[in-house]
Amino acid sequence: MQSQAVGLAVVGCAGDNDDYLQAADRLRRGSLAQDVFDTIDDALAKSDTFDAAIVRTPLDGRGDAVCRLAEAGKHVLVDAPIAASATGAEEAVAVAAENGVALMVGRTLRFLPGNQTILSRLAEKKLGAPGLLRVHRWSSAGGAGDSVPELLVGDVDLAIQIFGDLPARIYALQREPAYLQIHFGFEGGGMAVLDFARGLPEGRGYDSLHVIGATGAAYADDHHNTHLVYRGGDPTTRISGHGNYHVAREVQEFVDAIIESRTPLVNGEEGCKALRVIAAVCASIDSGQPLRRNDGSYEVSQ
Amino acid sequence: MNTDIFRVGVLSVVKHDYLPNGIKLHPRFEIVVVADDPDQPDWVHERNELYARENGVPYVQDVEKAIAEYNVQVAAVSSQVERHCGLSVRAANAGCHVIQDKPMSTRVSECDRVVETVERKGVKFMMWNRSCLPAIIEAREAIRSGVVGEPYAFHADFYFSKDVGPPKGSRKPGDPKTDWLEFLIAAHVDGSDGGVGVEPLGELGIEGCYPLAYIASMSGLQVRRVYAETTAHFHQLYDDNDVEDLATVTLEMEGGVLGSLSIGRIGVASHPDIGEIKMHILGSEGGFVVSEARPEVGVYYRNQPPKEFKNERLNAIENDYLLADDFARALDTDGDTILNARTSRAITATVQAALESGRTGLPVDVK
Repeated sequence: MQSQAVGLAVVGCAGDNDDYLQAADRLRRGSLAQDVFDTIDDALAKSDTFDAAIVRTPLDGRGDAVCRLAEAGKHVLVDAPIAASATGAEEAVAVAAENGVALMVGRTLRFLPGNQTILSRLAEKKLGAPGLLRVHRWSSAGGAGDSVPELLVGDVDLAIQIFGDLPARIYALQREPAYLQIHFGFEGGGMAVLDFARGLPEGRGYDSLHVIGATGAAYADDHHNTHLVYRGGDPTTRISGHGNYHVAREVQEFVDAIIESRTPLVNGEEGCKALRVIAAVCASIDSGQPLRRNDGSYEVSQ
Repeated sequence: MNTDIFRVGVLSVVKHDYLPNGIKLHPRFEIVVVADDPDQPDWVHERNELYARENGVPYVQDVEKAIAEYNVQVAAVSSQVERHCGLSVRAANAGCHVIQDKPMSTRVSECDRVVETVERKGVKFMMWNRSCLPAIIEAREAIRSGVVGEPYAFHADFYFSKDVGPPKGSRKPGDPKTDWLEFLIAAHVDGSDGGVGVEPLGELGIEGCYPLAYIASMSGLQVRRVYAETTAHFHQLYDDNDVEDLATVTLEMEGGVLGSLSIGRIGVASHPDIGEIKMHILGSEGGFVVSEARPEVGVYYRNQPPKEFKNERLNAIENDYLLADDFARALDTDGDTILNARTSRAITATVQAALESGRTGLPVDVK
């Protein structure tokens, strides 16, 4: 168990780091350096200045960055997805385990306030057995990562978390420009339909997530959280943001897991599961056929 | 302006009576007779007779005779589901225009008989629908005016927050399964008997035509292939009868346009409104999110009955009037109806393909 406060450093600039830096003030038993290491080499050159790293490097080098930091004895909170492929992620998880460091997957959707509420109501069994997850997630190009794994990983992880299992059946379709539609079936009858559009005009995106359970339902939907502005003609809308508390909660979970020598809430193996599903999604798109899970792998349904 | 009044014969009115009531809202239609076949069971005759009495018209236990003797011009068919198309075909063969309750049928072959007959006889057909609700009209007009550019995806969420008997898992070992027809006959008192008939019908079969009609009216496109997941998740009735109360369908439409449908009878506890019923449309220039139940008014009060919707939609009755108005316009102008026989048939074929996909786990072509 680590006895002192955990010193954290951000490595890489794949995304805007302001929310992490702002979260620093809210951390207990942890501190975050305000300087960001642009590259993994820069970070390792000064590895004595931090205990743990928040890895935000571009996806193509992310798995390698995790491995190198783990080999240097650093705990790692890495942006989802851990790597560009399930194989790369599995390697990173293995290296972290071999070196006895904590590996947590960050920037999932689990810590967002609406999803926290839904997940807690599910855990409290208020909603009953989940039957349906419905997601519409639309944005303009130029937001978070453009690759399929980056686009899907948050919701795939959430689906696995909600249903407590990997999907048993997967059917996915893709259309240009940048539109994906995914259909999951789970053992026991649960199902999910998710659509992802990256073709909105520049501006704010739209998020909607419904979970329908056997005894209740939850609706996290921008449509429900819209304010109106009247300046002549039809009103325009404003949508409140989520604030920054969820980022602080995520980092705090990472810090607590290190100090308590326990597995963090979103661990590396869970990150690998999401990537296995995403690989199957891509295989379904390529084949034009549904895939069925057979033991640990997916194969085209006949 | 044409003010001719069309004489309406109600051919069976065994479930909720919104269809003939919707027609009679319109000043161009007048109910003149209720009719059915003599070999129908007593409960059918009792309901027909009651409706005839309430409307001050005779009840005749001979369909063809009633059409002839009362000079029926428009048949309003609201029978058990498996009899819908048979009655429509007989009415059309007798020269009547037809307004038929949903779903069109559980068999595409039956729909084909209707399409063939109405086209051969040159009569109008409309399947009852909700496509004249204010939000759907607005969405349709907005899409057609290019608000999202060229549409490439249509998604419908269609959840009814209603209960249908005890929850799934409530049947004790050794207890008999719930009989579909008996249950639906008894459900008439609260209006949740839309699937009444001998053949059990899941939510896709009973209600799927509504959102699929929304998509059809907004896109003008036919569904070519579907992939579906189906299950009985909520209600013992559906589980006992091996039909779905929850379903999701991936839609592959003409021109590479995609879509999806999620539909469920999710239980009264799961929404303060009739249900989360929404359309999400994506196009080359943007997206459009439409709530079918808006406009609505929220009403909350002490000791409010748990089954009473806390948010109530406005102008639902306007839908019924506008459907009747659409039908009158079609008759006056020899135009098409908002949901004609061919589109209704295509919707039935989509539902049947989705059910097959749900059983097989494979994509199914819509034929």
